[in-house]
Amino acid sequence: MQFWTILTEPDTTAIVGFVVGIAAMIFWMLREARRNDALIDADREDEIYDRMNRWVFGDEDEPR
Amino acid sequence: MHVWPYLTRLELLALIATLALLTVWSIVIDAPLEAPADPAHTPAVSKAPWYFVGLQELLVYFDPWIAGVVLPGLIILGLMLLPYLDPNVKGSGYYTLSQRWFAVSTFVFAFVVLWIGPILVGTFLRGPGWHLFWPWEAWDVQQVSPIPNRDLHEWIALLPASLGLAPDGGFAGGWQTFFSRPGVGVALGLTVLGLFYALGLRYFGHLVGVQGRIVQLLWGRNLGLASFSPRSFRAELGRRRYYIAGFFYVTMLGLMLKIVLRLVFHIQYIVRIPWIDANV
Repeated sequence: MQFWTILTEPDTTAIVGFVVGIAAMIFWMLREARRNDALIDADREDEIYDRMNRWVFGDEDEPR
Repeated sequence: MHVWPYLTRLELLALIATLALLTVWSIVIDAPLEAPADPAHTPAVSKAPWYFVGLQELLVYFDPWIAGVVLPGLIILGLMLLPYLDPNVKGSGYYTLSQRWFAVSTFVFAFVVLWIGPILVGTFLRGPGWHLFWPWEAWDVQQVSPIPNRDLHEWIALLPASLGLAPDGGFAGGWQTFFSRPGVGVALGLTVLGLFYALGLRYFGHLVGVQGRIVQLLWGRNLGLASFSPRSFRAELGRRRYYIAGFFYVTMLGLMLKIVLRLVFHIQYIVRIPWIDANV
């Protein structure tokens, strides 16, 4: 069986999806880390939690 | 920080979305079951479910008791010990590489290269007879050829001959006879293994420093390595944590090295003690 055949057969749908998911998570993690690191470099470390909390609260101002 | 109700609400929504996605998926896509087993037709290669293919791939490099029992056990034990081994309090609740470069880069390497990597190799590059086929090669049952796997001492015994020195008589002959002895093989293998762990633990901090430099190079941002030294690393961890973390770190490196030795030099075992089934 050829490589491309096995790459696209239903048997390997799960693993291809899994790899894409892992790559996306690592990319997202590194992108967030880069932005947080920039805040650390700029001595604005206290803003990091606000940034990360946007994923939970959205951009609106929630009571803290 | 509000966990309740904001985070829990979001988690509930994520749970419902995942459940809906899996429900639709399982209705739309049939499970990839093959035809009932046929005694007249043996498949050219039998593969484990995809999430176990990585462990099946490790069987190429290690004895079953190592690949199937010791290594998974060490992974679980190591993950359980992580909170107790990590003295770094930074990076809690947010992503950062500059404050947690060692933890993040070690995890990404171990997960992607040592866990996902074997799954991908086992799924996509292993053909009939579990032989390695590159993507551009056809999975031809007729074309497989046995790979001459040797143990470390046999590989060393044959080294002069493979360098072009005549194996009959003289230095090369004596060398080959000496290193071909099983007793010499066991002593050599145990020495190499012992030295690997001793040196690895002794220079654990140095290895971490090298890793930091590689991460800094790839990341393109200053990680504050000027304040890092193997001595301060060891002092920060304390003696017990240093050696426990070092053991897992060196074992991880050893696993990768063993895979390289097997694939590049066709070396099967570093030490082979068959009468107690201890082949490493």
